[in-house]
Amino acid sequence: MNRLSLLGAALAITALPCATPAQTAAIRGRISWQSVNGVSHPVRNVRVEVIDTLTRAVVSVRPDTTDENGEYQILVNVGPNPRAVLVRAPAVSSSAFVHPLLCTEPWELSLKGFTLNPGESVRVDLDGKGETESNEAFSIIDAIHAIQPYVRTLRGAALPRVEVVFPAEQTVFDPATRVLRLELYDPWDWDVILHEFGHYLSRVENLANHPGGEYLLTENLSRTMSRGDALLMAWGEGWPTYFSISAQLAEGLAALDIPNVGDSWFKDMQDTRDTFDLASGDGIPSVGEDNVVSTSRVLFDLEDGVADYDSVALGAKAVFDTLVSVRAHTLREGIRRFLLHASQEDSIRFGAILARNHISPAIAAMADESPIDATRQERLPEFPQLAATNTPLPQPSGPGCERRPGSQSRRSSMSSILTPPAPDRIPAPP
Amino acid sequence: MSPGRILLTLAMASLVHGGANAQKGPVELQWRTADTVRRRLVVTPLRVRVNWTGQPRHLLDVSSVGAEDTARAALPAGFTGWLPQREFFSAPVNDSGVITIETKRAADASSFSSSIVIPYTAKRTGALFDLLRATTTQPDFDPTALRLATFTAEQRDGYSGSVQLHVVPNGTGASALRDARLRLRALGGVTILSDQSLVGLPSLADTAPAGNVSFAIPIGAKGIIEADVTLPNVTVGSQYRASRLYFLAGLRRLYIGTLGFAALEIEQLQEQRAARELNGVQYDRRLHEILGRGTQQTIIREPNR
Repeated sequence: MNRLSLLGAALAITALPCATPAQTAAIRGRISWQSVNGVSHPVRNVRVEVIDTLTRAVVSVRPDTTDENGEYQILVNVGPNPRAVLVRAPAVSSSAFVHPLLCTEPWELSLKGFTLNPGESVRVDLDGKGETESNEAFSIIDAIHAIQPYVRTLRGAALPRVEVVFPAEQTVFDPATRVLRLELYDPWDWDVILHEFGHYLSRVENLANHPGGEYLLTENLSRTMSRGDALLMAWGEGWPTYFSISAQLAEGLAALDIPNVGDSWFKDMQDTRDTFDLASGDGIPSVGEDNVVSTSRVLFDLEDGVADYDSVALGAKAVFDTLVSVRAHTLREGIRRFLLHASQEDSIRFGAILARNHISPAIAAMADESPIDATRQERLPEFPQLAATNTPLPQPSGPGCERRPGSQSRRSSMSSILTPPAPDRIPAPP
Repeated sequence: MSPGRILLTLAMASLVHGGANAQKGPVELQWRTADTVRRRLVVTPLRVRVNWTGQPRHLLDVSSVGAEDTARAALPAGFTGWLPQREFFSAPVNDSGVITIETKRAADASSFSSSIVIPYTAKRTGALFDLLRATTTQPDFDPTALRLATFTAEQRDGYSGSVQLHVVPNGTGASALRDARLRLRALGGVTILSDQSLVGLPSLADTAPAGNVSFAIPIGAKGIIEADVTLPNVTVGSQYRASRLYFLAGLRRLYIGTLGFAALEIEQLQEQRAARELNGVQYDRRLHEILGRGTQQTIIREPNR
């Protein structure tokens, strides 16, 4: 070795504290998935590992997990000679684990191997693209990850990791195995994914006693099953729908720029194209207590802080705590609890929500045959227990009953909602 | 596996576990069984030209024949000239039947308004299409506006057969089904050879109409038969339901399913491993290629700091 070489080696050793140790190499980069509108999003909270392409063994000294920007940094044990490796990001996070039906290996973002030299630093970015299952699996993972703060707000802790089979024959949550199955058509439909995740939460919190089976969004379920099962089913499906929309709004997911994510509409765009708005009542109409859409809208109206017709804005946490406290399995069980300590004024407001969703009657005609004041009708639905006790109704100008901007159009549609007396009314509060 | 008739039962009936729950649409599309035979096919590349002459300018969709790519390019309304995609028509040698080309007035996929039915005969040297005997359900459309250019055909081993498609109403009255529109479409390497029992739609007024869809696909090809139903008489809620059936023509057998190509490839891979055609490392490598398909990778070597 000549003097120059010795000098070079000495300089290299001097520089080592800032460089990668000789037997290892550093890999860092960013992992992303692409939504259906072509926008890239960071893959968050997913483990990244490095594989030897010949032996298929994991050679990461310590696998890393991507941060909120999708960034990772891994130290790899290379050995004295160059090593052929590949970077792999399996669809496994602390929230979910997504795998195909026929094997339990998760979907992943990975491509081909490359040579890694000892002491080297390499940046490797992996990007999911288009309508491939590997990319779609990360849409599912990110949907569930995105609402974990909301889940923590509701119950104080995130849920244990959920197993997701994708693609499956049917979009369904299996409460027995706690496995979430999604059809090939559903990975972009966050409303649907989070509805199914809502089943998981309702199972954990004992918020459902679901009779099982299939349902139509448009129907009164009592037509195809017993009244008791219909109420359980409407609640069992309506609550997860409310949860899905509420969670996305609470977390401000509209900012992610993913189609149909983060608004108040429930949309299943790929296979059925069902749509309905929980806030405005547009789309599939509410048809009664034994209806999934009605149930989800009532819960949304109880929670929402939107300045709307009902002036009720309990907030998600209060709604959740109240429902969990009574282990509500039907809408009436939940409503009964809300009414228990409600002021008379609030009871009337709750009644307005129920009337709007065809669960309790609305005013059809005044006793003295005077014209119906649409404002009164909306504020003061006929509420059986109040009428029975002959309790005086609050004045229309009372606090919380002011007309809200933009409520006129809704009132117009309300005036056509003249529900006949329901056979099963919400019982009077004790 | 020796060539011959294979009856596949597709596990596509509703999978509802105890206590599980699922939303359903106004109708369900269910693919039930496939009756498949391995045989010699003639594969004819073709392209379609449309030359509108004073008639309403519609969009064309070559419904029966799979395109080179499973994602077809969208065309502007009133497009005139050669359609950009190259199609592949596969049929058993000496077979004859019809292929279908559909037209639509708007960009909405559910608005297909007319079918042009073109007879074919599959000779050993390639398919012949008889445009002079083409028929259309649309009075103002002249089928002679169409031209079909065929290219050098080749004979390949493949599979032909039929699948049953059932349209199952879910609490939807017969009135809702009466004007229902079922559309079938081939994508990729599969060709729809006959869908006569379903197209025309009088059977959709039944409570659970079903029909056979005949197909052909050469070995090594992948394809999709896509079915969708629109229900214009449904006034509340969804008027639409779609389902896709995926085909992978392997050397050992034809793989069919609704879970996508990757599921079929994994199934094929597991059979190859069981037959000891692959060792553990080969299987693992091929499996992860499937699981990570579509990933783009950028590698930048960085100077040490």
